[in-house]
Amino acid sequence: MNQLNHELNIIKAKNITKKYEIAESDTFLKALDDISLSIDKGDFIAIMGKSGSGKTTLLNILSTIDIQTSGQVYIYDTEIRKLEEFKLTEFRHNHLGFIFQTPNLLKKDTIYENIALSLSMASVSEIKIKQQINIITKQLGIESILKKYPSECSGGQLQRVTIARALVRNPEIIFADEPTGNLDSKTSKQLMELFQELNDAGKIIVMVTHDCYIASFSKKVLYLKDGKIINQLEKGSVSQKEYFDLIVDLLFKEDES
Amino acid sequence: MQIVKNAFKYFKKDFKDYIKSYFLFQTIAIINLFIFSHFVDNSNTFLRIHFDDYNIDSIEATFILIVMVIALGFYAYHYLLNTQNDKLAIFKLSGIKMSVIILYFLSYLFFIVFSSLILAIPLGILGLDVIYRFIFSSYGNTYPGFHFSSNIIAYFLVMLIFQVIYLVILTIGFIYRTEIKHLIYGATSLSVIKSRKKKQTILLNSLITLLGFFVLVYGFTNFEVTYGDLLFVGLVSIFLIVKRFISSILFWLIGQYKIRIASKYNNLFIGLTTLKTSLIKTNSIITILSFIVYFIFCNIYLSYQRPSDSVLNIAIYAFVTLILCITIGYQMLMNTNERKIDFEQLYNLGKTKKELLFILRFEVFVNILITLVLSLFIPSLLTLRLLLNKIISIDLVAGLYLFYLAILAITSIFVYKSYRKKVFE
Repeated sequence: MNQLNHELNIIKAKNITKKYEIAESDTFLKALDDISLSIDKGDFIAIMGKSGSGKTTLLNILSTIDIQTSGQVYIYDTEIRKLEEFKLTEFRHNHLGFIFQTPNLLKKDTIYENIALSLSMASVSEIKIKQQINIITKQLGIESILKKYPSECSGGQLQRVTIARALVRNPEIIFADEPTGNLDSKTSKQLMELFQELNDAGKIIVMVTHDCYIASFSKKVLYLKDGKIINQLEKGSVSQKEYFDLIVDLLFKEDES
Repeated sequence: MQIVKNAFKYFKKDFKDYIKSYFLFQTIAIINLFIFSHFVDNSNTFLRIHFDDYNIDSIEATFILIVMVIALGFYAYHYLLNTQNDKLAIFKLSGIKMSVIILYFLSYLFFIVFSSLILAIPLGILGLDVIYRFIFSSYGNTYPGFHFSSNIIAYFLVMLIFQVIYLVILTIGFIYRTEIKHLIYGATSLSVIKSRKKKQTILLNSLITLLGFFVLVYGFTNFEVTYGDLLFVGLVSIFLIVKRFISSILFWLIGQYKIRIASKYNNLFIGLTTLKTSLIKTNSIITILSFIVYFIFCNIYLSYQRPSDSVLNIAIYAFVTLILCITIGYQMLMNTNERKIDFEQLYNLGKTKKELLFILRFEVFVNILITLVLSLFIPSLLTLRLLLNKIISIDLVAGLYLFYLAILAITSIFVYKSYRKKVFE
């Protein structure tokens, strides 16, 4: 039973609220308003919504990067807010991988060094690092740029490098903020298929996107408006095409309302 | 072992860009330490060259100078750490454990301190040798040659241990404070977070600033004109006033002025924003500058009647003012790559070259003006007090102020020209 609970509520958010103070004024902006959700083993979630709806704020809070103003977030029954920095980095090391729209790479390092960073710092042997990097870079089609520096690569290539950096550690939960933002449609599709493979292998994926096609690779869509989850959609047994149509309908209805 | 190798790899990569200023201050600190050791332990050397009229103030001056140059070394290291913000956030983002990050940064620190010592010790010996040859030849004496004083190794080790403990604390604090969201929200949002925190403490900071003014007024009106009393009043009030005044009151005033008046004039509004960003980076150095100027003014004024002490203190004043102004200039220019992007965006938004030049000039010259006014504010009250008591002459004051103004003017022109060249190239 415990095992079942563990698998059912891997990420749990209770009454999350996030407020930002607007600089040089006394007013607050409520980015998230009393959000509760749970994410289970095998989930692949797409968070959607208009600009300013709170998608990225929600992802940052769920992924331990930001702290909510009120409410609780639990991952594997651990309340994130109560973890001090030492344990938090340990926790991220053991469970989480991050992919952001901006590459955030070390400019003075080659692409190989950037991808190898976490393994190399964990004293993994050079042979093992090479093997893992070879597999992941082939999947992402960036094996030819490993000796280049970030300044010598295109936006799309850099985005794939950040994905490789996140995946090379084989994390259990992957948080991705607009992961296909800088990619062309072909590479976006390849990445989403890779996400599906990872998800089939048991990884949890939580992704922010504004693109209905990209969201159609997920199993569940959460739609945010003014900091609240106002609609949800589950793929269930429908085909990707039907699911895509449902997402488009949902967005159309919400846009009209 | 791999972590240490990585630290050495990044040390080599960062050397060209960031570590130079730390090396500069480490070298100067060691040269000063050697001079100090000779003052204390080799008084025979001075007797031989008829410096009988040197008194304890000169020894104190050299000692405090060492402490101040070490403080500049700390400042340079602190600045170096700030340039590592992105790297640290990427480490955390990549899932690197805290224990590994700490080991990495401590290894990195070890390489910086160790390699700077390898460079600084021979340069320190050489520098001392050159200075002594000069002093001896000016007095027509034969230079007996450099030799270590008995306690120099002990002084050196104490200084090193003190430095390393402080740097380790600074490094670990930095590792704990830096968060991944620095990368996501960017510098602007971070400054919003900081300004929010500062706003909460503005009342407390205002009260502490007022307390500083009280110490200043009470001290200058009631205390005797003695070295110890004046030093106490000045340094305590600078500690209480300057940095808090900039980070709380001055920033608040700039914010209010921006909202109420400058919002009507777009270029002035942007100029004030860039000025504030620039002041965030230079406010610590303005505080250090205030301490040093006050301390050296105190030394010069109170040794005014003893020519050899006075000459030494004026030489120290010239030297320290020069390196501080180089530091301020260096610090402002270090940010030009980041700022170039801001100016490019302004250009893309339709700003003309003339408007961009106004913003750039405003940022550089007003920043230097604030540096000038704030660093001279409390030393000027001391000057006024001693002028009224007729302890010092107006000629001496004019000389000191003109030198200071000239150095800052040269710095501002140099910074402005280099900044303009970098932004518009």
